[in-house]
Amino acid sequence: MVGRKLSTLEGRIDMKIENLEKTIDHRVILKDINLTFYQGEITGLIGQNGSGKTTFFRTLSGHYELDTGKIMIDQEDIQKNKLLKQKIFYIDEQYNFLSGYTLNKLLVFYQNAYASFNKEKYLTLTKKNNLNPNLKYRSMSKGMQGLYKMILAICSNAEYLLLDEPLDGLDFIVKKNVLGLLLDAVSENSRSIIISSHNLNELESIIDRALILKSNQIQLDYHLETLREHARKIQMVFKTKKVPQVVKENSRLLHFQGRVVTAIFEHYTEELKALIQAEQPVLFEELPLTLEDVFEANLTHEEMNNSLQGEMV
Amino acid sequence: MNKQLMTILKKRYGLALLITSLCIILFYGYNGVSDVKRWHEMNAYFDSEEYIKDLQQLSEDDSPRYSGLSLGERQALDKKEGLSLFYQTTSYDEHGKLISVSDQPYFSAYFNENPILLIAVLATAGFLMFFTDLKTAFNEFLFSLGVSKRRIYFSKFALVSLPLLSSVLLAKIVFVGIITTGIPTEYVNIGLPTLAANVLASWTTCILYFSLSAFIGLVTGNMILGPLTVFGFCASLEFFITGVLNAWYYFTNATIDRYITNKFFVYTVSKESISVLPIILALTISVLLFIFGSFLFPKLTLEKKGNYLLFDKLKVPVVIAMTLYVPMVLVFSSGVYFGEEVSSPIPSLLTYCILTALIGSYLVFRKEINEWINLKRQLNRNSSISS
Repeated sequence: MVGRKLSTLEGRIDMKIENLEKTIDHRVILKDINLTFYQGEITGLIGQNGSGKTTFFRTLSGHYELDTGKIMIDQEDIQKNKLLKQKIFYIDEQYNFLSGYTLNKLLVFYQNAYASFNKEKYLTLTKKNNLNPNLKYRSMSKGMQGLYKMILAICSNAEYLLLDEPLDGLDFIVKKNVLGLLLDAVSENSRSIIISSHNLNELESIIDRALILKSNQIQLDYHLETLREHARKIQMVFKTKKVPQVVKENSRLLHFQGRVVTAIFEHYTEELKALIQAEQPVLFEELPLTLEDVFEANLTHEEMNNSLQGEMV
Repeated sequence: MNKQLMTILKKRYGLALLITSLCIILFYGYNGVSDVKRWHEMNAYFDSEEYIKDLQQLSEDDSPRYSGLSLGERQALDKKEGLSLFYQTTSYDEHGKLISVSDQPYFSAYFNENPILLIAVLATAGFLMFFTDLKTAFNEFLFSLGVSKRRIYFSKFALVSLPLLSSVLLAKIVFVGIITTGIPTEYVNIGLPTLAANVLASWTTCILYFSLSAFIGLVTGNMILGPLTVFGFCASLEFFITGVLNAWYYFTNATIDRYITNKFFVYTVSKESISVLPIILALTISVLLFIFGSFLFPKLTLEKKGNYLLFDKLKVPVVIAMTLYVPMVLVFSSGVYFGEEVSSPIPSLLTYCILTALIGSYLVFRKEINEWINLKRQLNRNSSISS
């Protein structure tokens, strides 16, 4: 109760996931998921195809029953207080009922589904984006459908928006609109947005935090600001083909071609730099670190036994 | 939130419900008007010159029932038999004397309810109540709402079943009302209590089929097997009950060639005396299924939406139920005759049991069987590579 009072006082509602597990057809999809989502934060959920990103969203939004675990919003179990589900917004990409209805009718559904749905904002945004209310959802282009779903998400006024590949297939203009809407929503209402995407370059420009889902678990949890502050991507060429021990121990190798080594050092310090320089590399160049590099280092170079030590979850 | 949920459900089903309910009432109203019209046409025929001429030409040898009767009395007899709402099949001896009427069934030429069509409509509506939302991904939306699944179940049941079943009752009352008021009282040879009892009894049968179909729609998720199950079950339910009774007679009284073929539940208004058993059974089954469904629905998880059965705990009971149900329908529903030349039903019962158990197990455990086969194949492949 103390925690709840504190949270209310701070005006911040957090979503805490404890020991979440989900098995589908005797296959473990999610295991031991322990996380907290904070308001005012955009989180990127990164994982390979089939890693369980969509299952994670479906479980959070109540489409799938939890095998074990708890989802707490403001210290209250969502399984016990179903009204809390109104704080989560999620439209499934694969399974949704939207296509058979006009935007007018969809408005009625969502207006009744979310108690604090902002109808005025909805009407303004649909008008601004030339979305005809009498149009059937299925008759809209993919880009317009994506934009419309984003409008619904924002106008729902739900505290937690789960967005599964929201920018997938959108053209440049629509994408810009969608991103604008998203950033406005976070800054205006201190919401928590959780986005899964394959396009890491796009994700990088908007997220504050990256979660890497691998082997059914959230393997790494990065706060990008911290990562950018402490981590470096460095390209090195050594005299021999042998990678010095100091590099192996402190980095995650990205590329290793001939004598050219590209590695990510998460905890890069002046001392570490001096130790590498002591190996007298022929080339030592700092490159811009991208989310794609982090993703690649963690998910695609398993054979290299050097781990980029993010905040292990 | 409950109010909002009802608004959502009304938006979703309102129009379909309104159309279905209106169609039921209009169809019954139309049937009632047609039956009354037919009665008046028959009445006009009995008063026509053509009929009188035919009646005069009939000799007593051709029609012993007219022996000793004047033309007017013959006409009155025909009118009584031909225009009464209900009649029993009658037979006369060679002197024109009525043989017996006590245990003959009643028929009616002016009560054409078309119960099969009504049951089909109700079974379809009941089945679609849960199945449609599962297959059109509306459940994903409903499950995201700030209400419990049990609340969704009760609200949906209330919103769909109440207007639909009420419209059925209303339609039956309208139908009976049109006929009993449209035909002169002297020909309405049924009392109001019997009429009301029949209407209510046939309504409970409608409730039963609706509940059964709704339950099947709730527990099945396969696009082909789901509809097939509801169709097969509804079409064979009467045969199953007949089969159970015949099996009972067979196993308890094996030397008596007693068997039944009549319908167990009440489907239409009749002058037959109403047994309480089918009414109690129909209501009990309906209530039990409704309660059972209210415990199952909150456990529904949508990753199983393509499975034949949505609930794993039902798999074994369903295979057992199939194994008992199908052979009972196939072997005992048409009765078992006893005699030296007729073989025992036991071998065919066992054969059907084994076949149904095999087919049922495959349908229900298809995924598990396929996984097991794939695993075996993979193991064989791995062992052949390693050797």
